[in-house]
Amino acid sequence: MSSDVVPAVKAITCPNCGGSVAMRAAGHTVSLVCTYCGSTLDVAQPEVKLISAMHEAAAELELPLGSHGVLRGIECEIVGYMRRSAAGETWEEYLLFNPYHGYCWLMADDTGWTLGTMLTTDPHYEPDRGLLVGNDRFSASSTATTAVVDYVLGEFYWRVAVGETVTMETYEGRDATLSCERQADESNWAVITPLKTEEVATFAGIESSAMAAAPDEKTYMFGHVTEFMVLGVVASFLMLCVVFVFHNPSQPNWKNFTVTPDGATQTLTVNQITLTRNSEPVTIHSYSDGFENMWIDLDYSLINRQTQQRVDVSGTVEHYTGRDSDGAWSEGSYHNEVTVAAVPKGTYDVVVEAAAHRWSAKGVPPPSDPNSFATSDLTVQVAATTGAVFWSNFWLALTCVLAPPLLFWYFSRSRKS
Amino acid sequence: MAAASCPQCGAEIAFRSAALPVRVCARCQTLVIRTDTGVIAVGHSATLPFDVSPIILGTTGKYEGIGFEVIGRVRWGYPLGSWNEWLVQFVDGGTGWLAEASGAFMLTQESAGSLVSGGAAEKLAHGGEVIVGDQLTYRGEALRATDIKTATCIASEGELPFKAVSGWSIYSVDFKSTGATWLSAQRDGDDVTFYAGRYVTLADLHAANLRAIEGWAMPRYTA
Repeated sequence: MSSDVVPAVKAITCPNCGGSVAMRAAGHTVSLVCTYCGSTLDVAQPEVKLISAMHEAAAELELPLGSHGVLRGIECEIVGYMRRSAAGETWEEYLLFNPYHGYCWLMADDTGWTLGTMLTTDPHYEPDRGLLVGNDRFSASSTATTAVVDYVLGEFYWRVAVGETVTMETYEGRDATLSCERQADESNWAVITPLKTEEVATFAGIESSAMAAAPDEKTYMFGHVTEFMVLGVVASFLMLCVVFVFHNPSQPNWKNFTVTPDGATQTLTVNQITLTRNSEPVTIHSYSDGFENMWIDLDYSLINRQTQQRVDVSGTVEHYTGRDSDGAWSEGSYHNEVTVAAVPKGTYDVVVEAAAHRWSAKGVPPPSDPNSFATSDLTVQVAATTGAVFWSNFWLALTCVLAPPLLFWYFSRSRKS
Repeated sequence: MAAASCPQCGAEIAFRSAALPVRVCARCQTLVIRTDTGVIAVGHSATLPFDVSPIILGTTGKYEGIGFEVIGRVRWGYPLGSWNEWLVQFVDGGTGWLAEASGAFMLTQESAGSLVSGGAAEKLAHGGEVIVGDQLTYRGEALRATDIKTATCIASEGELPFKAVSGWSIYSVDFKSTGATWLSAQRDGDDVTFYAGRYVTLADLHAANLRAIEGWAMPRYTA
């Protein structure tokens, strides 16, 4: 029995660049990527073999190789680093080692930090409960994707190579994710649990504020910004479709009548309209032209033929012109539209009371063209139609639907940058 | 314990029992075998390459309620890596192997060939090559071949049940059940030996007398 303390690190001389590289898991390490020149070395046998020679400086890692600290109660050290990607998403994996506890993984992607531990026993499958690890249930959350190794640095207990691929599947549980990586006949299962940025910062002995590139806690929404945006756009499109399907306007049936300026009020039934749905919007349109500086008051009544219940609304057709220090001006519209949002089912008479009035004001000269200042009777056209689009409601709904994904998109962008 | 001297260097060596006739001389790494007529040198072990294993000769622990001590080791290598097989002596007289690979531990014990049947077992018995996915049955449980390799002894130390000289090669196949059972088959010439067991952690084993490694806090597992 020896009480001597053995050194933990063995120095390896890179056969490509001659650099002295620390091997931190001697006895387990099979592949070592030189931190000076990026060459991959085979250290499985006592004589170091050069697998692929490179001449590139090592990438600056957010957490440097050799970072040593305590993570989730276990002392561990960063011995290897990999950058991998699948389906357009890139993530980083740090290989952690403790000679008494073995290996685990510290991973970082857009959604935050996670800790991966290998399962030594495959999950148990039960048809009605899904995949079980102990009593924890997991269900499939994605289709299988192909993950490729984009960059490696440090040491690994298997042969690493850039470009190597595995098939990856993930399963979601209540507090953790289960991942399965398959390659040839081998499958490796790991349990992945979320980590807080502060935990990672404490482990690596750096200020959490210095980890600007690392997002905060794992929030699933940030990992699915694209899906969220697509959902928002699809929902908006569906809303538009709904608007046009239910808008369903009836053809206006115009009715003409005349009013005398400053004359008597005209009352007449202009239309009959039948509403078949329990509650429907009704729009009343009015039009008149050939006048200036006049307004026509229009008081409409929808009178239910059976119950004699009435709905009253009013509108105005008006148009004014003039000239002041800023030049010529005009105001108003020859067209007026009034909508009643919800009229009960039934057949209605549309009755209109119309009165035309001349407008005069101090400083407004009479129009130079007497023809434009009509003195004769005015022709007014009125029609009632069912259906209406309440565009203000539509824009409000669109804002509600699109605001959350846009906000998430904005925040996820600012996190990445 | 029977005491003797290394025929190569004269250092004192001791044999625990007749079941463990091989001893690697701690001074000159000569493999010494005890016979009825005395001790003879049968080969040599290379120097063990440096590793950061937390196990040393003398590490103690408990497996399924029975105390053990680590008394020997064989380091095996194959083209894709290497691993340690630590020989453990149980207090009830039995032995087992604590395999240490990729930072994980597995404790196995030799199992009678009569407990193993099925296609892969037949292939092994008749000198055939096993392929990944081949099945066998062990104590009524179906197991699949997951890892097949020819392993070569790199070096050895301590007391051993066989002559593990450097350069000795065996055919090794690992089988895995859908549960926690592992079975390792090792074929040397015509002889096939099965070792059955499961994954363990040093905490599970209440391991003590571990190796101190510079810069690392030694865990204290309560017995």
